[in-house]
Amino acid sequence: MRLLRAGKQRPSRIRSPVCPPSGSSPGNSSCGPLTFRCPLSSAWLPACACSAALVSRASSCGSGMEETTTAAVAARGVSVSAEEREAWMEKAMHMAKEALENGEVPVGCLMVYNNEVLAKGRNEVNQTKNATRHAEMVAIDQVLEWCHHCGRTPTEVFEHTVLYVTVEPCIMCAAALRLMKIPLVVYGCQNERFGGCGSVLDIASADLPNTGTPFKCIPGYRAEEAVEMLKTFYKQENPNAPKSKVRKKEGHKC
Amino acid sequence: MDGSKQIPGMCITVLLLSVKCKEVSSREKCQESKSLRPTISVKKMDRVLCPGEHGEENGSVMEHKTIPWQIFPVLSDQQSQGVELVLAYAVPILDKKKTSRLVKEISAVYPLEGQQHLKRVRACTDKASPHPLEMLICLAKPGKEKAEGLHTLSELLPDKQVDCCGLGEPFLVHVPAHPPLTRMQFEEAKFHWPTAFHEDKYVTSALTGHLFSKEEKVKMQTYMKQAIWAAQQGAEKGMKAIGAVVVDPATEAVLAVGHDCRSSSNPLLHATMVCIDLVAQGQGRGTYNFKSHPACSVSSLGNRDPSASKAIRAGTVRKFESRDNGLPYICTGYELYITSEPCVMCAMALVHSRIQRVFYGTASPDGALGTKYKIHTRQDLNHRFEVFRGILEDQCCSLIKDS
Repeated sequence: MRLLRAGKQRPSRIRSPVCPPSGSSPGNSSCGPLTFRCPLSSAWLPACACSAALVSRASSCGSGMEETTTAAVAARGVSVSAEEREAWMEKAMHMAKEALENGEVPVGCLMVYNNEVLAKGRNEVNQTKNATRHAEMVAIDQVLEWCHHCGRTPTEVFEHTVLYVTVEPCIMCAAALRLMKIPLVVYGCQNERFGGCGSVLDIASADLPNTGTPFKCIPGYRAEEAVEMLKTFYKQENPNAPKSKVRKKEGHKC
Repeated sequence: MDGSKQIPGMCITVLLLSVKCKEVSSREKCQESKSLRPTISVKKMDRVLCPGEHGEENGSVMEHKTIPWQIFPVLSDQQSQGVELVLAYAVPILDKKKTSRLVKEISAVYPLEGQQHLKRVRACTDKASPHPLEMLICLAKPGKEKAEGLHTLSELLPDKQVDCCGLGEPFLVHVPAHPPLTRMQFEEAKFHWPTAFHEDKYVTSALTGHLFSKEEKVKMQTYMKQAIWAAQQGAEKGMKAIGAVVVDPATEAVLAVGHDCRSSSNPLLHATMVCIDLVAQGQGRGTYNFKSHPACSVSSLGNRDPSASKAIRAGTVRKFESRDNGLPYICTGYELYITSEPCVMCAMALVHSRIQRVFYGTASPDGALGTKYKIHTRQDLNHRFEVFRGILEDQCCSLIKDS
């Protein structure tokens, strides 16, 4: 219960949660505005997403999901049918799978505006040495870039944009999504370690009048599958790395 | 989650406490700081001033001026909240001579597990009391006493394991539910029932304002002044007047100076996010281009020679998550000085970046390091750090008001 165990106990033995294993995601992936019209089109860049969070268990929000799986969901500014959500989350899962096959953190993340993909974020923490470069943050910057190119007002675009991501956004990303005034986030599994949509804190719906606007969440889409992918990924991580002292069973958000 | 709805009040009142800190001998203090805060003891040794630091100013300020602000640690809720009380059964000891036998026997029946901070026996405070001592038996079950009335002694100790001779009739008393974590909690707790207290001297000295020497405070003020300067530069260009600097306490080098750069083209470039990216740029990477903001700068010291940084580290206990180039992992071990309390996004960004300490000038309405949340104290996150508020608070506050 001290302020900090400075120098005494550091988190250094913990495998970095903000850092995918080295070797992942090298090079200059395109960060620019990407536009993909059809969620089922096949021309996807490999491994374009990875906001990773190792998650201990699948979403427990299954019951909440049931009522929303069949109905169209309207959040402030957007309305998405069940079929649309299904198709985009399918795409996000596909991105996550591709990332896994390429040895990267298996997370898929898409920003969709008017049925058009404006951004596909992937984790860039290692290559930028900036721990805030989660897939969602990268995707937000891609949408901003798109707005800049197309001469659109970011506020107006974000207010009608839906984020599809295979893992619950972390606390930082949830606050960023509020600040951008995104109305709706559809995600797969929970992020027990860093989740900002209820798992650790509920930033999505918290009363924070100076931090953008709350957003609606639809969790639980193929959660178990998303968790399994993350588990597989972290199992194959450097076997020589010391085991995390904290919550060995769980993983982390990248 | 407990942290999600918090009282905005911080832990300041604690300072009013009269604390025995001065009784701590200087030798003890020294040991304390060695074991807990290696970075401070290290940085006093053979200091060579780095470029950009104002050596002369430091000296003159130190000699002639007093520090016009107070620094307050932002502690966890557990440390800063009042004492929670629970009801317990106590019983008068009528015959003092039987005390040790009774304590032994009753402890065997009711070991008070989880309440080890509570002393079993207390002397009667009231001199007129017919009995000299009172003994704790067990915690009461909440609500049950109301419904069923007080238990009698034979109900509490039914199995004849205890010879109740020498005991009076049980009564209810409020006792502290948890061990006290700060001296103020201890003072409050022992008012209700004698309580053991294992004082954390580091926390006590932080609460009483003795954690930092005057010399250190002068340095801290210099860093905050740089943050204020950056905020003013940003404000002149129409940005929100918030500035920040990142310091490596081991070398006292300012690694990055930044100000809030949020605009419609990127609303997320808060001062903290700018500084985190500037540190990454100092390590040869980074994401954004701040050329249009000349007040946002990276010190070349951020790119220091790995061998030099190793030499600096030799005397410290700090462990860096060192990467191939000898630089620490992201912001491990670094300190952030920022004029306003960071928001939720920035606070969590600091967790991800593994910052060691944050000093902010003034609180923010949606602040996440004390006001709305205390993200830095959460046990369920993988990194925690120290937070202090109050350096040049008035100036930092007027920055926001004026803009």
